[in-house]
Amino acid sequence: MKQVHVLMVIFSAFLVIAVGTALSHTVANAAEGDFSLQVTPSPLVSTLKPGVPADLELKIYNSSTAAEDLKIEARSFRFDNATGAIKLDDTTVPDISPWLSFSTPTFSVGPGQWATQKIHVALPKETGFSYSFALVISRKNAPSTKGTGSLIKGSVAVFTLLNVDRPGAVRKAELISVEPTQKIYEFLPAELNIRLKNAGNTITQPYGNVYIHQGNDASVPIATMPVNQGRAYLLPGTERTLKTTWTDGFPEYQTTLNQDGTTQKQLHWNFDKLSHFRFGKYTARIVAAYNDGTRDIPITGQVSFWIIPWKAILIIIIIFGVGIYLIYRAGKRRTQKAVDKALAAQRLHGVDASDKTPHLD
Amino acid sequence: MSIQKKNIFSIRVGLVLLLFSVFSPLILALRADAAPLSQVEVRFDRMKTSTATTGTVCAKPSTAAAEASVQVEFPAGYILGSAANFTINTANAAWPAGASGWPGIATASNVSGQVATFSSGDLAVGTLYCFNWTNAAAVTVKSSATSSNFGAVTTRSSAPADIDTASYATASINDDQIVVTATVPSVFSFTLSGTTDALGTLSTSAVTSSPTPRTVTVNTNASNGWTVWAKDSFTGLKSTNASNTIASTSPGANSTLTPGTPGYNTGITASQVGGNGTLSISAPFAGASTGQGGGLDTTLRSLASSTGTADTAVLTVKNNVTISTTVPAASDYTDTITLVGAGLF
Repeated sequence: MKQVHVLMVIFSAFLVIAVGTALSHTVANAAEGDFSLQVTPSPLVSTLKPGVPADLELKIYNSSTAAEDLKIEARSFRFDNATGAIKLDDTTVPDISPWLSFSTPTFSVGPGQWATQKIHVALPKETGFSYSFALVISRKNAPSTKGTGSLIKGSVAVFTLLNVDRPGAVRKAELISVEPTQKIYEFLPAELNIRLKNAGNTITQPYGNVYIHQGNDASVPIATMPVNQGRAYLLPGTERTLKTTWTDGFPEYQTTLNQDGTTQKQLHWNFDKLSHFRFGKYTARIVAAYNDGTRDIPITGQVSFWIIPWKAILIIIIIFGVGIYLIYRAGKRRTQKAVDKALAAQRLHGVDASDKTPHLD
Repeated sequence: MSIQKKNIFSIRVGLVLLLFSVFSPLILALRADAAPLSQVEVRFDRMKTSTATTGTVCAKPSTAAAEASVQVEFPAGYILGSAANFTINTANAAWPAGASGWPGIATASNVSGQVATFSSGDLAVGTLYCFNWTNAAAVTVKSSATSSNFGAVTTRSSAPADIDTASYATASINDDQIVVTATVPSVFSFTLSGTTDALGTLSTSAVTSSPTPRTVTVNTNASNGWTVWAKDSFTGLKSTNASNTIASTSPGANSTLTPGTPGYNTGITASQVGGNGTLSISAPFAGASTGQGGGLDTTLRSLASSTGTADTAVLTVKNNVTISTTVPAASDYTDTITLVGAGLF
C-alpha cells in the first residue's frame, strides 16, 4: 500500500513538472518569437468638441503565430521644421494625457485575431485647438537575454491628430517658398520644394497643383503635378516642405534603390516619349488651397528654371566642329593638289615659274 | 324546274365550286397574316425610367423567304431618336447561346412612330440572328415604371410584306443599378523576425556581427510614408557581472569598427518589393560593409524612412561588436534595442 502511495506521489510530481515545462515553453515562444502587428487607422485623425467626450477606435491585428500580451500608451513627438523629421519620444507623455484613457490599457490578442482599442477623449470646455501625439503599442513584458547579445523589442506607433472644433480656431496656411532643387537641369526629373507654414492654431491639410509652362507663357500648361497628393497634415506653428516632381520628359533619369540603401540614377530613353524632349526655360505655377472652415483659400506662387541638355549639346558642337575641320582639311588638300598639278603642268611645258609658285598654308 | 334546267344549274354550281377550290388558296395566301418568329428577344441595356439606352435585338425566322428588312416596334411611351441615331453593330454582347450576327443589318433607314426599320440580308430558317443598337440616343425608356411594355419584331420582304413576326415584353423600373461603395482604411503593418540577437563569443581579431540579422518588414498604404526608429538601453553592450560596457560608437555618426578596438554599432541594409515610396536609410546607420553602422543611445533615432506606400519593405538590422584584449571577461554582455515603426501623416 505504501509502495502504491509513493508511486502515485512520484507520478503526480512527474505530471506537474511535465505540464509546467510545457506551459513555460509556450510562454517563452510567445514572448521571444516574431513580433507582427497591423494597426488601422494609421494615422488616427479626428475632430472633437470641447466638453463632449468621444471614443476613438483603433484596431490591432496580431499577424504573428503566437498570442501577444500588449500594452498601449500615449507618447509625445515633435516635428522638426528644419528637416521635416518626426522626433518620437517614447518616454514622455503628451499634454493631452489627463483627458485620455484606454478601454483596455493592457490586452491580449491571439494569433490571427483583431483587438479593438477604444481611446476615450474627454476634453474640458476650455481647451486648446489641436493635439497631436503617438499611441505606442508594445509587448507588456519583455523577455530577458541569455548570454552575450541583444534583445530586440518591437513597437508600433500610431500618430494621432485631434482638432478641437471651438470658437477661436484659426485655420491658416502660408506659402513660405517654392524652389527647384537646381536652377538648371540637364534632363528631367525636376524637383520642386514647396514650403508651407501652418500660421493658424489647428491642423490643416493644404493641397493643389503645380502647372508647368514653357517659358513665361501662362496660357496653356504643358504638365500638371499634384501638390500634397498624400494629403499630409501641417501641425500648428510648423513648416513643412512638400516635394513635387516633374518626370514627363525624354530622356529622363530614373532612380533605383541599392541594397545598401543608397540610390542610383540612370538615364532612361523611352523613344515613345520623343516629343517630350525638354529644352529651355520653364515656369512652375503653384495653385494650392486650404479650407478656413467656411471656404477654400488659395495659395499661389511661381518659380522658373531651365532644362539644358548640355552634354548632348556639347557632343553635337564637338561633332560639328570636327566635321567642319575635316571638310576644311579635305578642301585644302584638294586645292593644294590642284595647284601642284598646275605647277607640274607648267614645268612640263617649260615655263619657269619658280618665283611664282603659290603655296597654301 | 325541268331536269335539263336542274342539270345546267348543277353544272354551274359545280364550276363555281371548282373555280373556288382552284383559286381560293391563292386568295387566302394573299390575305394571310405573317407567321410567328421561332424566337424573339429585345434586351434593353438600361431599364430605368427616362434613361437613354442601348440594346440588342434577336430573332429566329420560321419562314423560308427572302428578307430585305426588319422592323422593331418599341413599346408605347418609349422615346425614339432619329433613324441616324440607330447605329448598330454585330459584336456579340452576351447574346443568347448560338446566336449569329444579323447579315446585311445597317443603321436604321426609317423611324416612324414607335417603329424603327433596318435593312436586312436573307435569313436562314432556324438560325438565331442578333444585332445591337449602340447609340443610347436612339431609345429612351418611358417615364413611368410599368411591368408589361409590349413591342414586336417583324421581318419583311422587299415588297415589302411581313414574313415573320413576334411580340416581346419588357418592363420599365424606377432604378436598375446598385451603387457599391467601400472604404479602404489606412493600414500600417510592422513585423520583427525575432526578438533576440545572440552574438556569441566575441573576438579581439575580428568584428563579430549578428549571425542571423533580424529583419523589420513594413507594409503600408500610408501615402505620406513611414519611419522606423531605434534606441538602446545602455548605449552599448553592458555586463553587470564585469561592471563594464562596450560602448556604442558615436550616436548619430556612421563608423566602421576596427578589430581590436572596442566598439558596438548597428548597420542597416534595405530592400523593397513594391510601393510608391522611396526608401532611404538614415546616413548614420548605413551598414553595407562589415562592421559599418551607427551607435545607438537612449534616444529614439530614425533608422530608415520612406516617402510613400510600401509593399514588403525590409530593413535588415545587423549588430556589430569588437573588443580589445583589456575588455573584462564576462558572459552577460547584453543590450536591449527598441524598434518603433509608424506610418507618417
